[in-house]
Amino acid sequence: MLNVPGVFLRRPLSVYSVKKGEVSFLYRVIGKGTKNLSQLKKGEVLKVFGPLGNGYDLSSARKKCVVLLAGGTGLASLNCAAEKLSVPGIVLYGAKTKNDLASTDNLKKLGWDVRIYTDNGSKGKKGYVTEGIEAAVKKHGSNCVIYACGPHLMLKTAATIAIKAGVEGYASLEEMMACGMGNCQGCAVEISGEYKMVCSDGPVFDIRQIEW
Amino acid sequence: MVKKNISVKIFGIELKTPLVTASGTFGYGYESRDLADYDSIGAVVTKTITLKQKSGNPPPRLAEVEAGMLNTIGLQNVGLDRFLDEKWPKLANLSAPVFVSVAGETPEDYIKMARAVSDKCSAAAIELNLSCPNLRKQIICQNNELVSQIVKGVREATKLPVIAKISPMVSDIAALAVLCEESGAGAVSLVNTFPGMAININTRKPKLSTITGGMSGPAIKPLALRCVYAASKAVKIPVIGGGGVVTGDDAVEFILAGATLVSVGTALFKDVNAIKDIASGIEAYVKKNNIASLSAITGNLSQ
Repeated sequence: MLNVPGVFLRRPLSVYSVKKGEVSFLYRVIGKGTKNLSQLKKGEVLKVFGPLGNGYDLSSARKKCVVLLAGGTGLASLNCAAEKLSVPGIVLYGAKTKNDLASTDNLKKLGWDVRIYTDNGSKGKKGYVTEGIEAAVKKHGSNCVIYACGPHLMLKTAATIAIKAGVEGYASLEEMMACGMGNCQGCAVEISGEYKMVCSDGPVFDIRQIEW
Repeated sequence: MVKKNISVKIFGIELKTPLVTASGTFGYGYESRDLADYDSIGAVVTKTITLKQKSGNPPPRLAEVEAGMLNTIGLQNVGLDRFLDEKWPKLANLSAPVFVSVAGETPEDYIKMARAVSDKCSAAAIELNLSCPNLRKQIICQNNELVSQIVKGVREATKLPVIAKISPMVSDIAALAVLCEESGAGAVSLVNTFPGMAININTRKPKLSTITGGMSGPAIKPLALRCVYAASKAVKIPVIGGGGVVTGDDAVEFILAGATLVSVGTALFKDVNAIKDIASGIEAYVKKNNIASLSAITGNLSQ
């Protein structure tokens, strides 16, 4: 949770990368909060409360072919996960246009097979990133594991594909959040028939258990 | 370090500070043990417990607005039995006294819960949430007969001090406070959130699943202060006042308006340890103005 000047609530952002003495975040300027965040100058102090919640369960990633499925700024947490894995896999990364894509240089440098999708074909393949999931699942079957973060519809489609193919998968979810630690009960999502909190129970949930 | 000169007495017990956590903003109350300074907290108010477990309202439950936020949590909680078994043992060990907040649909619900809390918890008080704006039924506070039945019924069922948490959404907040006092409440707590709404103009959808929700945060402070002033002038029982309190100066305003205790809510979302700084702020004010005790300035407005 980042204390952004000029807005009341903190902004929940996932960590993009952790290096020695350095933590980075990836975000898109959408409203006042992210705009103010983008205008901070070098040397200004940003108060951060965290890290909070769980992370991706990477235990299967060491045994199976890893497929990272990212939409827009959802790339952030997956980049962070990729940095922890010694054996690279596939990254399926989608956005509306090439202008909505963040850099994947870091992932490429780490040896990941990055496949880009844009809605209008301005970069990579024209179409939805979930087409890539379908192909990967077909090729690797239950021998692959999916880690996903991105728009609701993308995650829902990925979940449907994963369930149908019996593939293991995890999704990092986003919800409006106030406290970041379970006290306000604001960021509820339905998991296996009951409400769980994205901030403290998640943000990562088994993709097969999320109620869309 | 919090000094003795901001301690207050209520219900015959001495609280280290006049600051209490507003129900629903601090979880059940024990979860922040490692992060917040409980010695700055006068009393912890639990999230509201209902007789049966409640799953709460569908998402989205939150929206940010200018200088505050809207919520529609819908009293999600584990229900009375699980509260007593799982949550109370953890609350019993806290250094701060605990006020248990309860809500129901009928006077019988409230009475049943008050009995159970009295029998099984070493709570310092029981708070009756009569003011949740996010349930399908009307706010209880808007029905005087019901308020009176609930407060009277609970008063007879327990020896614990009874706090009536009332809504600002009534035509005469002072009259409502008096009604609670006459029905046997040991204190009134106000305000709960003000109903409000926000719309996403791109999707044309309301930002909350229930369309409207409860507004809190600094934006409501002047509205809340007026309510606390009106209520405290009308009753002799202590008033627990709050609404948008973020700083020590905000808390002092409520005390000057007549509040014996000040509740801090939404500020805890931004900083779970906010009460520590607010307590320091009150202490600084007391020192600077050479005030012997907070009771000397409670409701003591210069005209």
